[in-house]
Amino acid sequence: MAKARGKLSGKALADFNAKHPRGSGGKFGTGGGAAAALNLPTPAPAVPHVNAPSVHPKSRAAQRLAAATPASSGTTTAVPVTGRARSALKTPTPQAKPVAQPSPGKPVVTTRPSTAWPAGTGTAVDINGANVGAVVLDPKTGIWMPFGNRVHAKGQFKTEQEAIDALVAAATPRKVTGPGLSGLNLTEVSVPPQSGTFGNAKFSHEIQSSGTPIGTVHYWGYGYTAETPSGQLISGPNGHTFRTKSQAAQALAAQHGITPAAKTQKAPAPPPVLTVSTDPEINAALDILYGKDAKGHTIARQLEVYGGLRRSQYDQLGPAEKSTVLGDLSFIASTSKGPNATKASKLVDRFTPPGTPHGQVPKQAIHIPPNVAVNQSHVTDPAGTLGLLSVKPKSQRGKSGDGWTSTSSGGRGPWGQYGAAGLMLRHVDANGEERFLMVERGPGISDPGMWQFPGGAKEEKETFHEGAAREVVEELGFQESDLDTARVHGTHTKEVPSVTVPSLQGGKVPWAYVSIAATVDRQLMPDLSTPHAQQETSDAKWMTRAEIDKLDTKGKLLKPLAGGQLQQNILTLFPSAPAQGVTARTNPLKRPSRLRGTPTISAPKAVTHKPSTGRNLVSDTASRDKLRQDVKQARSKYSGKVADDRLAAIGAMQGFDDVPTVVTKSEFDRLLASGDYIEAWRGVRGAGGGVNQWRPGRGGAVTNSKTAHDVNEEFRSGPAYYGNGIFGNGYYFATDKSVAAGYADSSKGSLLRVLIPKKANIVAHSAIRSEAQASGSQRSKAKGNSHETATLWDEGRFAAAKGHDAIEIKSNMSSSHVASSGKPAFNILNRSVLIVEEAP
Amino acid sequence: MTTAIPQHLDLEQRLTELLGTRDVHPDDRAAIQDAYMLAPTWEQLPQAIRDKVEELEKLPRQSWDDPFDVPDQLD
Repeated sequence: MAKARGKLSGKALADFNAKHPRGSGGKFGTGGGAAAALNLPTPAPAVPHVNAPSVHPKSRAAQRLAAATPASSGTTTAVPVTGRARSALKTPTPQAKPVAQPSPGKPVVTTRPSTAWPAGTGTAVDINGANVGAVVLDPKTGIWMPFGNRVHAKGQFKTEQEAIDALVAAATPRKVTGPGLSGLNLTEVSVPPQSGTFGNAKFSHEIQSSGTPIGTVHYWGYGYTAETPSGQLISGPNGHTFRTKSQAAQALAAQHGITPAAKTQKAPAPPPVLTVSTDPEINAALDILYGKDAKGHTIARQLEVYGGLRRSQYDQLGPAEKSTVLGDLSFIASTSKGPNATKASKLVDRFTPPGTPHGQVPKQAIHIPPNVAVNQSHVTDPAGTLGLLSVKPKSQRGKSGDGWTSTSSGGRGPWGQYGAAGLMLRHVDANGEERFLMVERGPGISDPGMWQFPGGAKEEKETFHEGAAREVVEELGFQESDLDTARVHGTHTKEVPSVTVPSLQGGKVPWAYVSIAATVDRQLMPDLSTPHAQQETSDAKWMTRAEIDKLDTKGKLLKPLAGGQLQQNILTLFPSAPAQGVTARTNPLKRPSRLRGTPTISAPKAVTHKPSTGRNLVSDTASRDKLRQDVKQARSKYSGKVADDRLAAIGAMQGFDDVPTVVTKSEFDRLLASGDYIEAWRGVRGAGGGVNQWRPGRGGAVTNSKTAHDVNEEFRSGPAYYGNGIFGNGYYFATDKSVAAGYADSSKGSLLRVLIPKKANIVAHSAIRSEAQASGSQRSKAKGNSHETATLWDEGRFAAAKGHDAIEIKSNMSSSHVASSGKPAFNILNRSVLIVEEAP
Repeated sequence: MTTAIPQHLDLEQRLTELLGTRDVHPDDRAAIQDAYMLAPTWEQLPQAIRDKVEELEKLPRQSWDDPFDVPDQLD
C-alpha cells in the first residue's frame, strides 16, 4: 500500500516513519550528509511512490490540504505554480491536476523521494514532470539545502519546504527587465557561477529567449560579462565589463539578432549599399582612389581632398578604400618634408582610432635619451608566439629567488638571487586602441607608489618567461590559464655585469632583468584582494601610451624605466596596432596602386541618443548609508585618476561613464531640428591656451599636457573625467554659446557642441540643492571631516546618486556667469545620453 | 604673453576651487552660491560670505583638478 509520504519533515516525518516502516514505497530515515551534495539525484527513479502536495506539514495549508486529500488516496497530486512559487505552493488545491495534464503555461511542481540520497534525506523535485534537482537534509544539523541539476539554487533552510521553494524559484525563469530590454521578452534562470575566466563569478544567469538559451551573464563583483552558448565572450563598452546586467543581456540579444524592432512587425531594413555617393567630398576621394582624377596622383591634390574628409565620411569608405587613403598619406608623410609631411601625419591621426601608434611618424611625448637600449632583442615575431608564458609547478621551481644580491665589491646588488623578469602585457581593442597593463608598487615592497609593469625575482629553476608569468599571476590574482592566449613578441635584457648569479644551465652568469612583451586577447581583470597582491601591488591599470608618457613626465615611473627607457626599450618590442578594418601598411615608401572596379560606400547610420540608465540609489536612509559605504570602498579605485573620485564611483555605479553618441554636423543639425534636444556648448582651455596664466600650476578643467581639442575628444571617446564646479561637480555646458566661448581658448576644437535630450532625467539645481540640504541637515556640520558623510553634500554627487542625468542651472545674471538670463547652464552627470558633434 | 584674469573669473575659480574640492555642508554651499549669483566679484560679496569662504578654504581638499596632485593616502 502506498502512502502519501510526500513532503514531511521534523515531527511529522518521525510520526510518519513510526506508523509506516520502510518499504518499497518510501525512502525515509536518516543517514548520509551534505558531503554527498555534489552527486545530484537522477530524475524519475523507477520506484513506486506517491506525491503529496508540497506544503509544510504544520502550515494551515497543509492542514486544509490534509483534510482535502485522503492520506491513502494513492493518487498523484500536483500543485500548479503561478508567479511566486512559494505562495502558490501553499495554496490548497481542490483544483489540483495530475502531472500528466498540467495547465497550459502553468508549471506543475511535484516531489518524490530521491534514490540518489540516503533514505529520508533527499527529495527530488520535478517541474512539469522534468526533474530540476533535489533538496537534501543534513542529518547532523537538520538543515535542508537545495541542489539544482542545471540551475543554481543556494541557501540553507530550516524546513524542507523552504528549500523546495528556493529550488523551484531558481528553476522558474524570471523576466529580465532593465533599460533597453523592453519588448525583448528575455527570461533568466540562475546557473552555477562561472569560475576561471576572471576568478569566481558572484553569480551567473542563463539568459533565454522564448525558452531557448542565448547565453550567460556573469557578475564579478565589479561588472558583468556576457558569454554566448559557444563560450564566446562579448565585451562591454571600450572592451571592459558591462555596468549592468541589462546591458549584458542586451548584448547577448543583439548577438542573436533579437531587437525590439525585430520582435515587432517591423523587419529591419538591410543597410543600403550605395554605388554612387551623393557626398561630393567622398566622391572626390573616390575619384583619386580609382584613378579618375587627372591630378589625383599629386601630393597637393591628395592632401586637399583627403584633408576635406571628416572622420565620419572616411568611415563610410570600404576597407580597400580606407587602406589606400592611409597608404597615400603614409607615403606622403614618409617621403615628404615640411608642411606636407606634417599635414599627412595629422590626417593619418584623424583617420586612425585614438591611441593608434603613428607608424611611420611616431609621436613621442618623452624625449628619448640616446643609447639607452641594452641588449635588446629584435622584434622578429610581430604576430607573436603562443605557449611561452606557462607557470612551472611549485615543486619544480627550486629555491626561491627572493633576496638581494651582492656586487663583486661587496655592496648590495639588485633584488633577485637568480635574476628577475617582468611581463608587459598589451591589449588591442576592436578599434585598434592599445593599452598596457601597469601596476603601482605596493606598501610591502621598495619604492611604493611608483609604477612599472608587473614582475619580480625569478626562482632557481625557472626560465625568465616562467618567472615573469608566475609573478604576474601572483601579483594580479590571475589564473594561470589567463596567459594561454598571450603572444610573445620579444624580450629586452638588461644585465648588471658586476653581479653574477647561478645560471639555469649551470655556472655563473651576469645578473639580468628580462622584460617580455606580449599581447593578450582581452584586458585581464586584476584581483588585488589576495594577501600577496595587497603587499606588492597598490593599483593596476590598463594604460595608453600617452598615460604612460604622463607617468614618466610626472616622475611616477620606477627609476629603471624612467626617462623614456620604458618607451624605448620595451614598448618598441610591440608591433604597431593596425587600424580597424584596415590592413597595416608594411611599406610606407611605396605608393599604393589605384583601385579597380566600382566604388562602394556604406550608408550613414541613423542615430539616436542612448537611454538614461540611472536609478535612485538614495531612496531611504538605509540605501543612503549603503551608498556612502559603497562609495567609500569604491573611491580608491579612482583616486589619482579623476578629479572627484566619489563622483566617479557613483557615475560608474549608474553607468554614467559610458561614452556619448558622436554624429556628423549634418546629423547633429537634423536632430536639433527635431525639437527633441537642447543645444549646448562646452568651452575648454588646454595647454597653450593661456590656462597657465589663469590658474598657475593648474590646468583648469584639464591638465597642462593636453590641448583643448584633446580634452573635448576625451569627452567624446575617452574615460569619464568629471570636473569641479560651483553648483556641483560634473561637466558644465552652457546653452549661451557666448558664455561657453568665454571658457574656450582660440584653438580649433576648444568648443564642443552637444545635444541634451529633453527626455533625459534633468533636475533643477534649486530642487536638488534643497534635497541635498534636507539630507545634509540630518548630519551634523561637526561631522564635516567625515568624507563618507559628505559624499552627498555636493549637488553633482547627490543628483548622480538619485539617477539624474543632468542638473539645470538657471540664472538672471549677466553672461559673466555660466548661466545667463533665459539661457540656462547644465551640469552633465551622465554624458552617455548626449549627442556630440564630431571633431572638426 | 600673460593674460590678466578677469575679475569675475577670479571669483568663479576661487569658488570652484572651494566648493568643488572641499566638503562644504549644503547649508554653507547654498549661502555661497546665492551670494555668488548676486555678486560676480569678490569685492561685491557680503563680508560675512567672504569670511565664510576664507574659513572653509582651510578645509582639506577632497578632489583634485590634476590627479597627480592626489596624495597617496586618503583617510
